[in-house]
Amino acid sequence: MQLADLIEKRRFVGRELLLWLWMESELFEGTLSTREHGSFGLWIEKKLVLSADAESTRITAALPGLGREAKEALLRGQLPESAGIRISRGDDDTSLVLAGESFAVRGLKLQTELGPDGDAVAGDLVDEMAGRTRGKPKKKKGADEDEQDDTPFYERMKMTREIEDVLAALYREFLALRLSARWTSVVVPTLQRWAEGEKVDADAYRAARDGKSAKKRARG
Amino acid sequence: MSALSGSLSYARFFAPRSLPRGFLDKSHEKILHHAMRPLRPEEPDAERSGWCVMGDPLDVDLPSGRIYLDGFLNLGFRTDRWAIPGPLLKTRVREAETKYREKSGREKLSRRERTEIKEVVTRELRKRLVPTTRVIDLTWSLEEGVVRFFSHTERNALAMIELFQKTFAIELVAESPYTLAQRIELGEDETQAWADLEMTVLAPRKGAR
Repeated sequence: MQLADLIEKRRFVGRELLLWLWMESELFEGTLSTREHGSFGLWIEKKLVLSADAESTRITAALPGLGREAKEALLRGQLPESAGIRISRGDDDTSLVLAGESFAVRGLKLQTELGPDGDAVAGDLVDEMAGRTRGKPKKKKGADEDEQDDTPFYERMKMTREIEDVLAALYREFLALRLSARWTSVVVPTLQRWAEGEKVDADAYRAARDGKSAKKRARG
Repeated sequence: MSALSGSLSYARFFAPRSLPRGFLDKSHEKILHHAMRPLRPEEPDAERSGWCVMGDPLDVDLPSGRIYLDGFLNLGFRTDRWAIPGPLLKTRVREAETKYREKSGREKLSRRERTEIKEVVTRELRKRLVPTTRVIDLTWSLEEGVVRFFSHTERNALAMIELFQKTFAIELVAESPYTLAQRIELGEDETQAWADLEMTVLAPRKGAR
């Protein structure tokens, strides 16, 4: 099979990643983890677009995944197409919109960037939280206007790569689950109950997802 | 569409991590060869793309110090296009055709004559206009073998990939769930499961709710 065909046929996996992130972030109250990064905050915010064929559902809300409309769309066979994601790690707070089928990133807001003189200056997210207009130029010119300073570029690329690393690690964890028998036996039934609005025991789900037996769970 | 300020919107593309010996030394010459040549009214092209300095669309001299930044190769993908408003072109062409008919004393013009008139009018209008310029930043992280292109439009991406290929003789592959999975070392069972994968679709269970 041609590479282009292989790529096309597996685009849905990215949508399933968004679905899984959405459910787990709700079940675990916005705290996810990866082996490399430990625990961090992650939740779906602002925008959630679901679709299947010509039908699409677009939800704009502070927490768009919480409402019934989003879950109803899932039960009509739609899967997330793109989602606004907030990632909160230590002092870093980042938001972006991730497209499921291409993993393209939109509106990645990095919390801080270094100014030309090396001082940390506010980024878009800080502006937004402080109620200032987003995207305002914050650059402070040095004494030599023509002098090139590449520090902000490196800083932005470094932070971008860190976020990409988190997303890649989440994808690895997702694939390990998706390609195991636990996807069908544990995750899909949980997704189904969660989408239907039933109460899900998050601890029991986590233990089953991680392959821990009831005995091991009792031992802690 | 900028890598240097504001929020970032980009798509990732993959290039080989290991590059031929002397690639970087030779690449500057290749970049200069495909640098943006601004459109001229007398040229037939309606649109042209080429490289410029990232963040500085007018710098098409591309000094190496502004392209190569410790592990990154940064460029601007600039596209210039003549954008003559349709109604203006139509009116001017009609005026020129009328003038030509009166001068030649003929009722009807051949298709060739009409095409020529349109070309002359287009050239004249271009002399009075400035082409539109669009620039999209591109940063190639050489160690990672990743190109970040700050646009999501498919047309822009295809044009960039073509120019990239012409410049560096390297084919870029767009990021996707498939390509990312390929870079994760899957076990034997996982590889088999990946091959057999089918989409998960949730639907209301009978008797639920």
